Amino acid sequence: MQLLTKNIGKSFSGVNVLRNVDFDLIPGEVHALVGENGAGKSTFVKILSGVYAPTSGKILLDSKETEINTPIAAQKKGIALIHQEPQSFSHLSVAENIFMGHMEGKFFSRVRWQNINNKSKEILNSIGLNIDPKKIMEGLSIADQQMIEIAGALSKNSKILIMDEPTSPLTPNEVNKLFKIVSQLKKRGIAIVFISHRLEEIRSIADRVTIFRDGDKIITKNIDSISNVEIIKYMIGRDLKKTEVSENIYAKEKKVVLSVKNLTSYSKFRDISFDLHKGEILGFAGLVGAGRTDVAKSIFGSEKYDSGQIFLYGNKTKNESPHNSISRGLVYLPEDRKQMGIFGQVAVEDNMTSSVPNLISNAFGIINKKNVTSLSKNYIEKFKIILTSGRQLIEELSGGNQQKCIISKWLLSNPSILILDEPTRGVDIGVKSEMYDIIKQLSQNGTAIILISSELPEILSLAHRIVVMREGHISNTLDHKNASQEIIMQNAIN
Amino acid sequence: MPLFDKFLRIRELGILSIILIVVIGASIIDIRFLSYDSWRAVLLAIPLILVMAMGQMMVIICRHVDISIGSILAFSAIIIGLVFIQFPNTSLLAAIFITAIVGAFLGLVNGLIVTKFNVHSIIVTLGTLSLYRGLVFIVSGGRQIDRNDIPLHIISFSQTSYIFSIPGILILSTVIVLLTHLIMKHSIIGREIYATGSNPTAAHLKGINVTKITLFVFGVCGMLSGIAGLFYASRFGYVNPGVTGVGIEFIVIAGVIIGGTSITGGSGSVLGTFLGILLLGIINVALPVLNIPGGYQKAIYGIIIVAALALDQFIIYRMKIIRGSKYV
Repeated sequence: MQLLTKNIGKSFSGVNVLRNVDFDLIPGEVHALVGENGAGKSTFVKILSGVYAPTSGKILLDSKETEINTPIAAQKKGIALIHQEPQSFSHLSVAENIFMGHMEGKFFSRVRWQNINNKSKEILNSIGLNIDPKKIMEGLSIADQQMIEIAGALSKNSKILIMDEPTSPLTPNEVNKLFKIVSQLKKRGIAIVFISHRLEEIRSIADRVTIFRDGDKIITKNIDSISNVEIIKYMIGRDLKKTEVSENIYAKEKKVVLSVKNLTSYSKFRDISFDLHKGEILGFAGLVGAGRTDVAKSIFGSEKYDSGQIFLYGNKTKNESPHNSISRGLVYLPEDRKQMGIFGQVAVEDNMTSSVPNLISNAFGIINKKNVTSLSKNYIEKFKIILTSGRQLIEELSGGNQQKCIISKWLLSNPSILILDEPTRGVDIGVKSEMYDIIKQLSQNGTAIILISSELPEILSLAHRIVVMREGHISNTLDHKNASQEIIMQNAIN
Repeated sequence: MPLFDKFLRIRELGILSIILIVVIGASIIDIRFLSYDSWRAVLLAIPLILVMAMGQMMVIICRHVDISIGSILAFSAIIIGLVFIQFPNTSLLAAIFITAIVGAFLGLVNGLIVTKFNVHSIIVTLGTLSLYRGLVFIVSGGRQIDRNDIPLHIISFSQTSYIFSIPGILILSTVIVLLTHLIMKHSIIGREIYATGSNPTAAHLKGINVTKITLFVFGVCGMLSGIAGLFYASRFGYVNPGVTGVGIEFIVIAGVIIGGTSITGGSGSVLGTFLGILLLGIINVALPVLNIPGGYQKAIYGIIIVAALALDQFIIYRMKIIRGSKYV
C-alpha cells in the first residue's frame, strides 16, 4: 500500500505546528523521520495514525483520497502505530494482547482460545519470536511487549507500521532483535515509518530519511546520499550568531560552590559529575528524556538518587528534601510551571512571598500583610511585572510574567545557587530577552546558575560552560568558546 | 523453598489456606462448629451475598465500584413485595424476572451517570446509595412488607425445591456463579471487561467500546442485586425500608477484594470471589457458635478481614517475585 500526503498542516488554537508537508511512503521501505523536539514529526505521525485530524491537506492511500479520523479507522485501513511505551494489558495473556478488539464473534460468543493461541504462535514465529502465547503479559520485558504490539498489528494485516522512537527504551541487544524483525517486515512489503534520534540506527536500518524543522518538512533524501553532518545541519538550520558571554566573578575567582560526584539513579541517569562555580552559568543541553531534569531534581532533593555524592560549599551534604536545599540556599525553578511552579488560585503577592514565611510573619506566625506587599512590590517594579495589583490571582498573568514572579519568589530567599529548568518555555520573545538580562545580572552578582534548556541559542548566548547529556550520562562538557550548535547536537545525539 | 513457591503460584490457594486456618481454628475451640446445622447456616447465608458479589466483581475488575447495591436490593425487594400484595399468585419465575429488570434499570442509571458525565463511580454510587434508599421510603410509604404479604411459594424458594429438596436460592445462585465464570473466562465480552480494567487507554485504542462495557457491568451488577432483593424477601420473610440491605455493600465489596480481585482493575476470578464470600460466611457463623459476645463479634470480624487482606497482599507480592515481574 502506498501512502502519499499533500500539504498536510496542523494548527492548535491558531498556532501552526505543522505546515504543508508532502510526504510519500513506498511499500517495503523503512522511512526515518528526524528533527529536534517540537519539529513536528510526532504531530505528523499522529495525523497519519488517526490521533489528530489535519487542519489542511489530504492523505492518499494507493492514490485514493482517504480520511483517517480515529486510531481505529487508521488500523482498519492498515496503518498501525507502535507506541514508544507499549500499550499492553498486563493481566491478560500474550495471545489476548495480540487479538484483543478483533477476535471473532461478539458479546457472549466463546473466545476460541485454541484458534487465537495457534495464530499468535504463528505470527510470533514468523517474526522469529519464541514466546508462549498463553503466558501472562505481566513480567515480560518492554522489548517483548513492543514485539507483541507489532504482532498485534500484523494480526490485523497492517501494511504500514509507524514506530515512534521504538528503540529508546531498549538495550543494544534488543535493538538488534527489533531491527531483524523490521528487515523481515520489509521483505513482506510492509512500509515502516521510523522515528529516532539516533543517527547510527537510522543509518543501519532506514532506506530514506525525511528531516523536519520548526513544523516544516525540510527535505527527503536517500540515506546513502546524505551524511550525518548534513542531517544535523538540516535539523538545526543556519548558524546563529553567537553573542558575547561575559566573563565575570566566575573567571576571576573560580570558587566551587556545588560539586556533584558520580551521581547515579539507576533507572534515570548515571555517573553525573560536575562543578558549579560562584557566578557561573552552567548550561545543561540534551534532548528531552536525556535525564537533565532528573539530575536537577535529585540535587534539589525532590527526587531520590541511588549513589554518588553532593558537596555544597565544600561540605558533603545529602539533600534529602527540597526544604533542606532551600534553607541551604539552593533553589529549583521547575520546568512545568503550571503544575509545580505556581499556586494558581493565590494572589501574586502571596505566591512571591511564599518562599520566605519568616520575613512576612511575626513571632507567633501571624502574617503581616504590609510586609507581603512591600517585599513583593520591590520585584514587581524591578522586573516590570505586568499586573493590575499585587492581589491579582497569579494564574491570570501571562506565562512570562508568571515566570518572573517565580524567579522573584526564589530571589527573595536570597539563594546562592539557582537551578532554572527551561525558564523561557512558553514565554514570548520580549519577556525572553528580559529574562536573559535577569539571568546575566544574577550571575554578575555572584549567583551560581544551572540553566537547563532545549533551546541551543539560549544556552550558547548565556552559559559559560555547557554540559551535554545523552541518555542519562554526560557525553561532553564544553567551554562556551569551543561550543556551537553542531557540536552540541553531535554530542546530544548518538 | 521450591515447593512452597509452587504452592504460591496458584492465586486462589492463598484465600483457601486462610479458610482452612479459620475452620480448623474454630473447630479446635469448639467442635460444634463442624455440625450440620452450622454448615447449613453458612450455605444459606451465602447465596444472597454471592449473587451480589458476582456483579460487584465485574464492576471492580472494570476499575469501578458500586456502593449503591444495598439500596438497589432494598428497592427491588420493596417493589416485588408490593407486587405480591396486589398479585399474590405471581410465579417465582415472574418474580425473578421483575426484580432482575428493576435492578438492571437502577444499575444502568449508575452506569449512565458514570459514563456520560465522567464522574468517578465512588461518588456516583455514593449519591445513588442515598437516592435509591430515599425512593424505597417514597414507594413504600415507609411501611414494611410483612411475612403474611409474601406468598408461601416464594418463602419456600429459600427452603426447598423439587431437586433433592435443595433450597432454590442455592440452585439459582450456583447457576449464576457458573454463568458468570463462563462469561468472564471464556466469552468475548468477559475478556473485554478484563482488558478495559487492565488498561482503559489501550482498550480504547484497540477499538473496544469502553462505554458499552461500563454500562454492561453496572447493568449486570444492578440486575444481580435486584435478584438478591427477591432472595432477601424469600429468606427473611419481610422487607423493611430502613433495614433491608443497609451496609451489605461493605460485606460484598470486602468479600470480592478478599477473594483476590484487584481494586486497580484487570484481575479477579469467580472462584476467588466465591472463596472470599465463603470465608466471610464461615466467620459470620463461627463467631456466635464460639460464644463470642455480640459486642466483640463485629470487631473480630473486622480484624479478620484486614488480616486476610494483608496476608493476600503478601502472597501476591511473593508471586510477583517468583514470576520475575519488574512491577513488584
